[in-house]
Amino acid sequence: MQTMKNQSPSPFRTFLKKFRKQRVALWSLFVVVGIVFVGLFAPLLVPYDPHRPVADQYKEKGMDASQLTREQVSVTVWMSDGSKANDSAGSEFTLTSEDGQIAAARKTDSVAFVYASGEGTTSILVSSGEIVSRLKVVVSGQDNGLPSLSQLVATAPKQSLQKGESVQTGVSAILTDGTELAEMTDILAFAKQFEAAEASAPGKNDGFASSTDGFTNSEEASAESRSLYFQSLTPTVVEVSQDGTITAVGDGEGTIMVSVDGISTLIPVAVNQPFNKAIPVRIEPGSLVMNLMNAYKHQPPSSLHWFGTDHQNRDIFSRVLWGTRETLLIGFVSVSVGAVIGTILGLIAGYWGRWIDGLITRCTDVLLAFPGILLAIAVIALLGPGITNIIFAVSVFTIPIFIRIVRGSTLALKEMTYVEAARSIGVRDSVIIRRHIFPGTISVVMVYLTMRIGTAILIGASLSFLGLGGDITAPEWGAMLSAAKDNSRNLFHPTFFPGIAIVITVLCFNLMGDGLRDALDPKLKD
Amino acid sequence: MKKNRRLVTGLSCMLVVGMLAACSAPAEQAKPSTNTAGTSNTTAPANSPATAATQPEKKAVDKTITLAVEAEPVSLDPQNVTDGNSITVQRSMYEGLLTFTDNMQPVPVLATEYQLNANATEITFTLREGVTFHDGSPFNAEVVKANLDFVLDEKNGMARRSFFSFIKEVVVKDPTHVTIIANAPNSTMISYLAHPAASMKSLEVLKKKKADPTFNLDRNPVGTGPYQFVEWKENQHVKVTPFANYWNKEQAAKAESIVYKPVVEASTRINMLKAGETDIITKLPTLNAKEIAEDKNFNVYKAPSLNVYYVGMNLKLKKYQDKKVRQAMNYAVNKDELIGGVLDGYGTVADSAIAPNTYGYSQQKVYEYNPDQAKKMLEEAGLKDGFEATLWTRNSSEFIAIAENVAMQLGKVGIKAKVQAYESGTLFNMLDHEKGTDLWIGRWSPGTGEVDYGIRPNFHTKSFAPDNNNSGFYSNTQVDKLLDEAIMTANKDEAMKKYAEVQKIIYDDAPWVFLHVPDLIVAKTISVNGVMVLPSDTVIVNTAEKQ
Repeated sequence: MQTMKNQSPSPFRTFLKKFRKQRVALWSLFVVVGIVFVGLFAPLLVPYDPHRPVADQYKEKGMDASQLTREQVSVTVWMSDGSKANDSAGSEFTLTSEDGQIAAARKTDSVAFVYASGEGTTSILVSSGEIVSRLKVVVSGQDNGLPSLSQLVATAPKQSLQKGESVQTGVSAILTDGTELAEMTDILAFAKQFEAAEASAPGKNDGFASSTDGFTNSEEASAESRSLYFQSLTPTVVEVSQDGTITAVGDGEGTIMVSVDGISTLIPVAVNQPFNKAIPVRIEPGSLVMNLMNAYKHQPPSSLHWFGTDHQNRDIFSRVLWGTRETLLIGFVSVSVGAVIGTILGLIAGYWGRWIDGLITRCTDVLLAFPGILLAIAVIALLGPGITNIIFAVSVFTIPIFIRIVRGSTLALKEMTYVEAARSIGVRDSVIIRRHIFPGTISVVMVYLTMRIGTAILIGASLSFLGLGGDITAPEWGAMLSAAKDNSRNLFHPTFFPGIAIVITVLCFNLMGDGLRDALDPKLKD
Repeated sequence: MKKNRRLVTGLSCMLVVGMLAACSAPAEQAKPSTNTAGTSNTTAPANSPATAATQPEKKAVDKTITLAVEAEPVSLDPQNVTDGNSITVQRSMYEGLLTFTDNMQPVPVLATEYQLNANATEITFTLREGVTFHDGSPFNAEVVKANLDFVLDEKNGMARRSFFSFIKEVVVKDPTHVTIIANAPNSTMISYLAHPAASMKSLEVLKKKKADPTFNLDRNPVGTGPYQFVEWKENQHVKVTPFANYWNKEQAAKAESIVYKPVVEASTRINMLKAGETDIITKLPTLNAKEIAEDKNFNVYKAPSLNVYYVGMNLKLKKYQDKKVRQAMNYAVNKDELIGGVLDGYGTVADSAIAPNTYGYSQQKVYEYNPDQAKKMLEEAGLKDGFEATLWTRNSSEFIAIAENVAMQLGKVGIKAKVQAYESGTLFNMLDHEKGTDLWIGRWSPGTGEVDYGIRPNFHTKSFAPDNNNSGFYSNTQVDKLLDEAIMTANKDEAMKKYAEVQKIIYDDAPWVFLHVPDLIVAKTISVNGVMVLPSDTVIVNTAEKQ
């Protein structure tokens, strides 16, 4: 030691000097101070409320809440005489989604909604009786870029037909990108274009048997549904050939259904009589393409959400910051309680010895025989979950360790000459313990305290990971890991960030403890 | 100083190594099998006896269909289990008088026909002839009587005793005719007798049990099914092989053997499927379903189940006694967001107290998400500032996620619900004995696939906990009356009208927050065919084959 010759250095200053040389420990100290700061001021630091989904908070934050997860579907029904149908007719339609895992559609009495549920492109079929139209749904911008057939428009004979008379119908189609295919051949060519691509796509429920037929019920995209298909719904009145020629065969009103690739329209035909009333022939969706966002959950890390969002769409960054509070509370309080009780009992056991020492040491041995986490679980099982009980549980298994180390150094210090001297002049036991023995144990207690905080944080996180932490929905690192663990195969961020938070915190406390030990060890020279 | 630098280097090395190890863990799972196969092929001489032996053995193994189920079966005695998982394992070994089709219609199996009398008190079965059990004993009317008598005998302590409590007497007319007489008119008997719990065990094992009380029926399954029991290795597998004398040659076993492996962790099941360790997996997590479905090597089956998820409320508590509060809670929960968010779209909104696939279901008008309406109704009920509540749930991640979502949604209208998760056994016990029941996430699936079993246990006054599942103590005399009338009506159409009325009253009364009907998701490798999935969550592989 290169200290001033005639003045013995203050032990604290020596310690500081030594500690400052522990580069790693010093850095750890800074990080720990940072973590404590975050813990104290978490409510001011978090960008989002960690208890609520971020989607609900965009508006409050004045952010553009354009990430729509659902959109209302409005339709216009066109009648055969070219007029729009009134509202009552327009509300009677049903919605079917082609892939419920991308978007689902549901209609109630008054309104119809399309909901995003995955990512990708799918289409929704809007049908009313025999008329079916399609609208495309793009979720989260995952557009496949391919238009599909949306509506069919057939030109119907304006006048009533004579029996035996034939007319040629014209069919045109509207695509989801708004373009029109005016010729039947165009429509056919368009429908065929995707046949190959779709045939290779996996069908639904392939290879699963149904009891009624005992065979696999793989979905077939039959050639018939792919090509333009004419069908007379009233064969007694009109007949139709597959090139679109309508022939009147009987008196009355008839309808012909034209369908291709899942969508269809109707052609009304009157034979030997005027048209009674117009029938709906086409459903026009309010928008041909619907853009939705799958903003329900698991948003990846972005500038908006640094750590992404979790399974309930809560901001993970906010949750990690908020979780610091509980983590530190568990770490500091439980270890302090354990250290205080442990030190007192250790001093008593070490100083007085005899039966009291025997009793305390035996109890310590019993407690130390349990693995820490097991003891904590047992305490939680007895007292029920909750943060106070976690703190209690962690304290319980911290106590015996402190008893041991404090008793050990007390035994050594007790034999010191200055203690003997104090005793010989009749100083009271309590004073000897307080003034002469306790200060000697402080360094070892301090080192252990910092080291134990790391362990306590780990145990606290483990307990809440196991669902013993009381509120499982709380922003707490262990609970966050537990909730995210099932998806860790597919998703990186929900487990990584709380995990790394635990690692950094525990590592820093341990490194700091290491540094403290080196600095406090009088045998270690620099 | 030097020491510290070494410390830093050491630590960073450890960190890097740790991260690498963590990253490569999933990939390694598949490796060992391919590795060992590769080495054995290259190191062993081409004509060594070792390879000769492994070749045919490998072929034999290939024909075995492996099923990863979510848990160990409780028992292999059909009358002693209540969980769908055990039923899945039993289905290849047992048959009953009737069975369900994939839309829960009862159809005859060991019976050839059945006749319900006019006032729905008796049902007479004509039994199939020439059916033998795996132990060689014949199937006849005596066996039916012995089986039902055995389960009804309180001394035997069978788990399904109460399920069959509607039976008063079983009368054997002649070896091929048997009549089951009910205590009271019961038009739903047919569905009860088509349930897997009404599967027939051999008379010989029942005799053995009577002679020797230590004989374990749970471990000695003898049925008439296409497969017979081989072994049950604790926590490893249950194995069955084809039964040569199976009566129905058309539906005879096609696989070399079937192995059921209990695998609790869903992610492990997926890894096993991907590594080829299993052919079929049940209860696929929704987030993985899409990934598996896109893989050309696997098929994913998806269909609505019979399960209904709900938030139960304890109607004894003052806060839930006003119908407006209960309806407000229904309006406050956005079911579509729940399905999109928690279930990844694998579900539909529950529009009745029972699922659409249930026999006798009648659609109701859904409480559409409307927080303003909910707040208004709460205000009208005098609960303007909302209230505090405790929301119990099971401790599986699915249930917790649902509860969390519901709690957050209720929070938006001022109902502060605190989520508490319990192990399911503990939760049922707490609900049965009303240990502070408030709100809870419940799931109900009528095993018989018909409306009565979907409604009576949950809403009839006589079904109050702990006797049955009405843990919210909902009681409505009109519902009770209609239910009692309906079960006595032998005419199906009239009975169904009454059940439809009941569903309307219940949906309007809102003793639950009706949530959703999840989809069943089962995945299999492309080489296995003929797997059947019932809406009641049972996977049947009796006629499955592997190419």
